[in-house]
Amino acid sequence: MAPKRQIKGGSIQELVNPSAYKSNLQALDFLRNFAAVIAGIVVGICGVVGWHGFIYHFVSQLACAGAMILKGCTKPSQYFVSWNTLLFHSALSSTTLLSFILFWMIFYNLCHVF
Amino acid sequence: MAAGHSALLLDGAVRDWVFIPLTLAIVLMKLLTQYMHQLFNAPPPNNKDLKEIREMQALTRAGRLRGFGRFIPETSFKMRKEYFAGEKGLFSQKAVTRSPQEAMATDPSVMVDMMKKNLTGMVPQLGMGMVVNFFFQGFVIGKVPFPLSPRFKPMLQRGIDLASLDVSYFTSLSYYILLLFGLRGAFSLVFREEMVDETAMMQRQMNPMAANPMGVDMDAAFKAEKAALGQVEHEWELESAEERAVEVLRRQLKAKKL
Repeated sequence: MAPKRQIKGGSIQELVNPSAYKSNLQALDFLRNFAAVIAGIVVGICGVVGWHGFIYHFVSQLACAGAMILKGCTKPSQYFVSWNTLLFHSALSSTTLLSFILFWMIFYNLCHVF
Repeated sequence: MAAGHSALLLDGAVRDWVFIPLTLAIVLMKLLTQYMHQLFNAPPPNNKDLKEIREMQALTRAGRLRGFGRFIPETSFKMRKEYFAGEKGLFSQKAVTRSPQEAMATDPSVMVDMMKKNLTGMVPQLGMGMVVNFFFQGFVIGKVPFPLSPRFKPMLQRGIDLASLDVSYFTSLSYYILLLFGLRGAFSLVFREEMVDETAMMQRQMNPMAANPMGVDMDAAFKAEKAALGQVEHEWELESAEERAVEVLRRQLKAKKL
């Protein structure tokens, strides 16, 4: 994961250092994608069938927020603009969802259909 | 084949000879496309001369003046404004930069550039799609892990006309398309920087005129900038700095008291 840098939060006016903010978002993106792929592989190997498999995907996306907090982001308003950004930034984006579906499909087919 | 409910048993040979090779082939093709894109999109030789570059910079400077004018005193701002938008100012003169239409006609390198972009973009994907369709046609390749409504049947099972076949089974062509979209996410893990963004490229294909990044229409840009400069009002921040400092101090004292 890319190292995180702090954005400057002024007390009266909010100053956002754009390159730091962008690198923070990229780190979160990377983590989200990675979690989607791993979740897809795990769910595929376990052989989960049905719509409730998607719950694992959304759980893993939200767990990324927890992982970010562990990594050192103690006050989300300083690293990201708000809690909502940290939780939902690309949680519902189509790239992560499609990656999850793809890897779920691949591993489910490899292990359970053939 | 039983209707719907019993699971189809797919031959192991299908897996060995179709599923895995198809996945590997598409992954490799995407890798190739990505690398070709990176190689071909090394910054194009910039064949603009000094005057054109100067005009573009002037536009940037004027924009900055508008945005951050409050940091300089009034006379300085007026001097700069006069230089840009005055009677004999920069923006009143005719721009030297050619408009994009002329640039496209007279400059062969632009055509080569566009052709390169097209070549590394959609063509290999379409070609691969045709190859996949040709070789792996007419049989079911795998199963989707979740139940789908029957509306997805034509999408997932092109070329197979069995009405009783479960919707969850898909053919190689639909698997190919799924791979194309799904690998975007996985590839963005490997290549950290800008990926081949297919949706953006497809939009650019539809819109060849809007795609040209070179040569903004300089005359129109000059006029727009001149009008914008005329509208902007100048207020030196230093004047109101004392009042703002008093505000800040007051707020700090209040916060400390509490």
